[in-house]
Order: sequence, then structure tokens, then C-alpha cells
Amino acid sequence: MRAAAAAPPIALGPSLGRSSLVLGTGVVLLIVIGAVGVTLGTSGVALGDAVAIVMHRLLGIGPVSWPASSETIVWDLRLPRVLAGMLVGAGLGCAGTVFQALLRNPMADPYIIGTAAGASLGAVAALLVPALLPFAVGGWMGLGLVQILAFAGGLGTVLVVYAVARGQGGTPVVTLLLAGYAISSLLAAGVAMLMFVSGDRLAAVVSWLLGSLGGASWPRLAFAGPLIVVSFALMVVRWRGLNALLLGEQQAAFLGLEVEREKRILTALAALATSAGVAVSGTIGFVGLVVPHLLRLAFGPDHRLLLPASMVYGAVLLVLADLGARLLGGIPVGVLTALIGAPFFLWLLRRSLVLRG
Amino acid sequence: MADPAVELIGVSAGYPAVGGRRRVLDGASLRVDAGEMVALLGTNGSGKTTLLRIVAGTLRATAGEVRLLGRPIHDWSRPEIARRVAVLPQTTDVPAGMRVAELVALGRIPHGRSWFGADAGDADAVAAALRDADATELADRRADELSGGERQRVLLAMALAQEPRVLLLDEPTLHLDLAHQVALVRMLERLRAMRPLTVIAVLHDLNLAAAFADRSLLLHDGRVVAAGGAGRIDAALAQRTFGVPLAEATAADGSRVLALAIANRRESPKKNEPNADC
Repeated sequence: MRAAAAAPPIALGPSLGRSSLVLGTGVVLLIVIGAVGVTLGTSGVALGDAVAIVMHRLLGIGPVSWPASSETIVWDLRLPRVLAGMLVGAGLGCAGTVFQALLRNPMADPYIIGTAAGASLGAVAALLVPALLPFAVGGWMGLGLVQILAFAGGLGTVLVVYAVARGQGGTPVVTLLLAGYAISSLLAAGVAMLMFVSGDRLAAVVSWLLGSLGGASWPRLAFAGPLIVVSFALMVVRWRGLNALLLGEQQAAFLGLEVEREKRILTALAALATSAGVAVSGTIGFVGLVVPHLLRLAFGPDHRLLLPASMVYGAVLLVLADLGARLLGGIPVGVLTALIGAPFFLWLLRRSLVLRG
Repeated sequence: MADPAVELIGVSAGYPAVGGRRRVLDGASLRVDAGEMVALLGTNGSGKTTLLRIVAGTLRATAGEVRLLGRPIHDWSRPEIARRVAVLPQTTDVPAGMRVAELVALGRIPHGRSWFGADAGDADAVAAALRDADATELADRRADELSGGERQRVLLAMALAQEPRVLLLDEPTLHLDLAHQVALVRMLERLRAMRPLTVIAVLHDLNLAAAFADRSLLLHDGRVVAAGGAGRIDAALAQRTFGVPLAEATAADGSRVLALAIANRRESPKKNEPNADC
């Protein structure tokens, strides 16, 4: 019954060496780009100073040899912004991977079943509340009402979409997509209506909708960070289920998967990571679509490598895009990701057509 | 007496439909002993696939009892069932960019215990499955670039990697040419000699069923009807079920076969029929 001992070993998944190389390269890239992001800007900070400031703040070591303004720039502005880019990019990367696997749709992105529309409605409503109500609504633990309602709106919408699409025999993927589309359209109409009545708050609304990491702060990181990291960890330990779903739901069930339960859990986790990210940055397109897609083409569909890689390279891409957006005079990062991401994606699409003949 | 591998007692099952449920199985009973190979025949929509899903535990019976290896099937958890029953379905998505060995390794999912990676047992099981399904030389090929016959062998290897006691095949010869159909059924015969397998295969070809199965069963009106033992199919019963004329003939080796008895209409063309040449 067993293979002869002389048989050559058969690789059953991504090898340890290859995975280490892919992920290690990503982490090195991330550190380099992060360092560049912290030091580069309208007022430059020497790398040595930046490192010393971070060490001083974290560990309380080293004599203070830098101007106070450098410390503000590094510690209060750029470092939270770079870390927010990493977190949001990582969350979008792995949520995109999970939605593409769950929905078996290469066009799926983390926002596809309602996160973006729900978060947008929540955020826009929060932006307008002070204007609509006679009293101002305060923040909570350093989070503004905008962040809280964006998070709740994103997550809540996915739960509603799922409940609507859920039938007696399960939740068909097509129904999920259609329900997500319909409810997103409904909420988008709400956003448009609010924009129409927003008056002089329109600029703030548009700015949020375009997506930006400019609002990153330590309290916001402390809110989104654990949510994204924990949901990632819970997604990656479900790699067997995600791999089984590559074969379709029926065959996944034949392989022992509780398909409907797995779909519910994975949807909730991906929506959690996405909504936490949206609360920090607003909606940023293309990262969650392009990164998993590209990595799947490069390294194959096995989620043991694909999920961590999507996390690392999603972070790399967003930090890089934010750096570019900042250096280009502060254009919204969401505009830049779409501007670069869309043509790149089209090129990829054409290339795959050519390769297939 | 040993427990049967699969036992259905008065099983009814169906699917949600507009205005209630569409019942496909209606009091079906079936007993397949360990090591048997049974062919399942029936018209389209007669419930063959539904019956396989019941035996695989992915569809629950609305009435009746389903037993697997002597225990009520839902006493087992889903992974426990998948370690005992494997299914070669009619169609399966083959993920793009996956190598054959990786695809076959998906059959180890129900056995998975380690957090990541595969253990030595997994590697052995995959190698044995590839060998037994005659697919070892395909191990490093891309799974989405295989021919129909190769693909079927690889998917069979994936099912074998589950190390099942019961193997269910849903029209495994669909889309295969005659040579590949016979090769596949021969492979099942060899597999049964090598592994302690009970096989239930949905087949369309009555002669293939008669030639290779220990027994043939016919699904009719939601029930299971015995259609013949090894080497023969009840011609009258098959004719009634499928509603086509069948004729018995004797093959070159002297065995009895059934043939579709439809006369060649080209031999007596009607005068007003258009000429085929124009």
C-alpha cells in the first residue's frame, strides 16, 4: 500500500524554502519602504535620527540630539501613517484573498459584498452629524464618530447582506453577490443623498470617500491593529478549508468541510479586517483586488503561502502608494492605487489572454 | 454477519423547490457489502447523484435511515465521513496553477492534523494514490493542463488519497472515449484488488455495468431495484425503465450483451425527404 522508499519525494505544497524566500523578501521590502516613508517628505529627517527617535520613544534609551519638530514629524505623523498603511494594506490583501476564494470570483475585492458602501454611509453620516444636530458628538478613546460608524457600517452591512442571501439550503455565492450589489446600491444612494445636502461639508465628505492615510493616529492604530491581526491569524489557520473551496463547494463538502459554516466564519473574518481598515483609511481600491490576484499567478493558489504573502505584499503596496501620493503633493492614496492599479490590472488581463492563445 | 459498508433503509430525500420540496428519493433501500462493486443505473433525474450525496453524508435524508460501516452516518463528523467515503464527482473545478501532486494532496484535508504542511503519512498516501491511479508520471504537471483521461485519473488519485473504505463515482466515464471508459473501469477492478474498497459507481453503459460490477441496481421512481448480478442486466426491466428497445446479442467471447435496437432509418428513405447531398 505504501510507496517504495526509493520513490523521489513529492512536494505536496509550497516548500519551506520558497515560502521563506517569498515572505522574507516581502518583509525586507516592507522595512525598507517603511523607513523611506518615515524619513522622506517635505521636511526630511535623517534615518539615524528617525531610528533614534523610535528607540527613544519605545525603550527610553539614548540622548536626545534632534529638534523637537523632528520628533513630532516622526512619532506623531509619519510613523503612525506608515504603520496604518501596513495594517490597512495587509488587511485588504488577506480579505481580498479570502473573498476571491469564497466567491470563486477573480473580480472579488474586500468591498464586494457591501463593506465599502456601508462604511461610506456610516462615515458620511458621522461627518454630517455635527452639522445636522445642534450639539456636537464627542469621540471615544481617541476614535471619532466617523471611525466608529464607518467600522460599524461596513461590518453591519456584510451581516445584513449575508442574512438576506441566506436560504434554506445554504447561501449560494451568486445570491450573495447579487444581494451585496443591491444593498450596496441602496446605501450608495443614501451616500449620494447625504452629499447632496452636505453643503459646505462636501469637501470633507469627498476627501473621506477618496481614501487617505492622512488621518492615521496611535489610537486609531490601537483600534484597527488588533482586529486586523487577529482576523488574519484566524483566517490563516483555516487554510485547509480555503484550499478545499478551490475545488468548489460540493467537492469541499466531500473532503469533510462544513461548507456553510466555513463560509460564514470566513466572511465574518474578512469583513472584520476590511471594516477595521476602512475605519482608519476610508475606502482604498485595487489593493485587495490586485495583490491576491498577482500573487496567485506568481506563487499558485495554495493558501498556506497565498494568505501570508497577500498580507505582506498588500502592506508593501499600500505603504509604497501612500509614499507616492504624499510626494506627489498629497493626492488621495485611493486615487493613486486606482490610477496605477487599473492599467496594471488591464495589462495582466491582456497578458493572460495572450498566454492562453 | 459483518456490517454492510453502506446501508439505506427507506430513505427519502429531495431539494427545496417552488411550493415545497421536490422529492427525488422515495423510500429507497440499499445494502452494499464491504468489498462489493455495485453499478447504479437510471434515467437522468432519477436520483443517482442524490443517492451518492446521501451516502457521502453531504445531503441529509428527510426520512429513513442511512448507515455507514455499521453506524448511523451522522454519528460520524464531516471529516470522519470524508476519511471513510470519497467521491469522484461528475465535474470538479480544477484550480488554475496547481500542480497534480498538490491537487491530489487536497485529498488529505480530512486527515489533516498538523497546523501547516503535510506529515510523512500524507506523503506516503499521496504517492500510493498517484501510483494506484496510474498518475505518478503526472505528479509535476499543471493540473489545469491535463487531457480528459489524465484529469480523471488525477481526480481518482485525489479520492484515493482520502484512503476511503467506500468510493463513490458519479458517471466516471462521462466525456471519455470508449478506450478510456474501459481503461477506467479496469483500473477500478485493479484498485479493488489492491485496496479494501467498496465501490458504488453511477454508469450509463449497461454492458460496462454488467461486465465489471458484482451487481447492478436501477433507480426507478425514487426506489432502488435490483437489475442483475455479475455479468447480466435484466433486459426487460432496463427496457421498461429507459423506454427504449433493447436487444440481447452474443459478444465475440460468448457473453451476453445488450444493444440499442433502433433500426437504421437511412435504409428506407421516404420519397419526399430532401436528398442529403443538396
